[in-house]
Amino acid sequence: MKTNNQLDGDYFLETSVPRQMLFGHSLIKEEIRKYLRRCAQKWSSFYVLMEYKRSVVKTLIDFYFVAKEEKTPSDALHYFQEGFKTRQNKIILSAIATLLEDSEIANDKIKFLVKLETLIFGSFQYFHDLIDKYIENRTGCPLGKISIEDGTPREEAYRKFSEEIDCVRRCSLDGLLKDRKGQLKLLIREGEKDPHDKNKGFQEALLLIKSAIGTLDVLKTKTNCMKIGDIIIALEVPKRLQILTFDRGFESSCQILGKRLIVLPSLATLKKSRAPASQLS
Amino acid sequence: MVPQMQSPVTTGVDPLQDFADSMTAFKPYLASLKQPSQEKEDRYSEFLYKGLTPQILEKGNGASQVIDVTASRYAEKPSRQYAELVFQRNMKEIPSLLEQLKANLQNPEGAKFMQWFREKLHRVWEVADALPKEKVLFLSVLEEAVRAKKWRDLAAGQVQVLEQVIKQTENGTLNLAGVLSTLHHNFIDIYPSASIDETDENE
Repeated sequence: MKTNNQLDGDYFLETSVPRQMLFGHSLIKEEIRKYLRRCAQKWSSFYVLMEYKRSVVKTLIDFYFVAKEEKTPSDALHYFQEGFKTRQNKIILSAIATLLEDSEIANDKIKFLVKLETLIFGSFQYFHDLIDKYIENRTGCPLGKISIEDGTPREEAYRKFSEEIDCVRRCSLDGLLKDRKGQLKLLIREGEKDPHDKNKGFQEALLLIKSAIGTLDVLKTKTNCMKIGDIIIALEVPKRLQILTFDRGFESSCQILGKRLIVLPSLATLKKSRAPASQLS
Repeated sequence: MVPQMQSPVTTGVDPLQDFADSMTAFKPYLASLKQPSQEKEDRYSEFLYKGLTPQILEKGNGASQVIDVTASRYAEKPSRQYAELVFQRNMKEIPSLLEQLKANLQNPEGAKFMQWFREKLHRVWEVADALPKEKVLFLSVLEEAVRAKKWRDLAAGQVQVLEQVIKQTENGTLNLAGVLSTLHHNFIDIYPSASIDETDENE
């Protein structure tokens, strides 16, 4: 067991970490575990929890209903991959595809649905088990608190969850952005300089903030809130916590705002580092 | 006075016995008469002997259609009580297997205990249709906890955790959320792993 002297302090887990910890490549999972063993306490926010529920739990619930309608599990996977492939859910779909390598599941729709329900309940529970503490909910986002109720017939509970996770703008995001207007202006100013001007993920969010800096209220919509998510997280996290993420978009915002950051290596980097020397030469 | 018909009321005595007895003289003659040949083949006694389920040959429109009774029998949903019994019996037997597995993680002996553990889970899957959802999900979690894992890949602590959650679920002191929490806290991965990386833009 590690003593406090050997630990790296407290980490703030950004959305990509729990998502990759659940469904990422086995090398990625192993890498995250190394960091988590070193950390004293794992923190997160209700905003991250909302993003996680939306990108993981809701995706699985949507997929469950598609699988119920489609004839075979493979049909469901094909349909979902064609129509709903985003950067966030492609990792989940890839993981489910590996599950279908087991012919017993691929050929048994009922068993496949049971597996999906296992993933829904498991992933829902996972975040709460992973996180030790939450930072103050400055955005006032209520969606992170939505649960899958026990006691209700399961599918009814899924339906309710899917409805409630949809944003109806009952938050105080506008208040947070107005309070941090100075920091937003700093991001705009510094964001135009090298190397931040080449950070694609950061620039997309920055462009939106630039266009709305006069009337920050317009950012309080579901779509805009999702687009500037990384910046909201960077604004919310206290300076004493190290942000742990896979998303390189955080590099610019954290550097400009003076937040501590650890960007975990990509799968390609991990594979390269493990390749025998003979293969590299 | 009208004479009353007396019927014998003695139990076990056939009223026609006297008549049958009187026919004994004709028995050799009756035995010589040929029985009509039976249309139906007695296949059931053979299958009972072999412990198999017979196939019914159904004739219609000149074509024979074979219906496999075995398939239909297994397609029937088992009763809830039977399913619970199978669940409980197997869950009671698994901890001792895991105990032996734990002691043999570093040698070939462990493989068979792992295999028998998987077989027990498989037996419960066969009646899963009749089990409550909570138990089916529990079974699914156990299966995922050892999916694609060799016995030698497991740590003694992980096997111990599996043993504990099974015992506690079986005696009713742990619910599904508790099982999931225990596995999460002990880094027992029950989730499938992707073959790609979400951070790779080229994927």
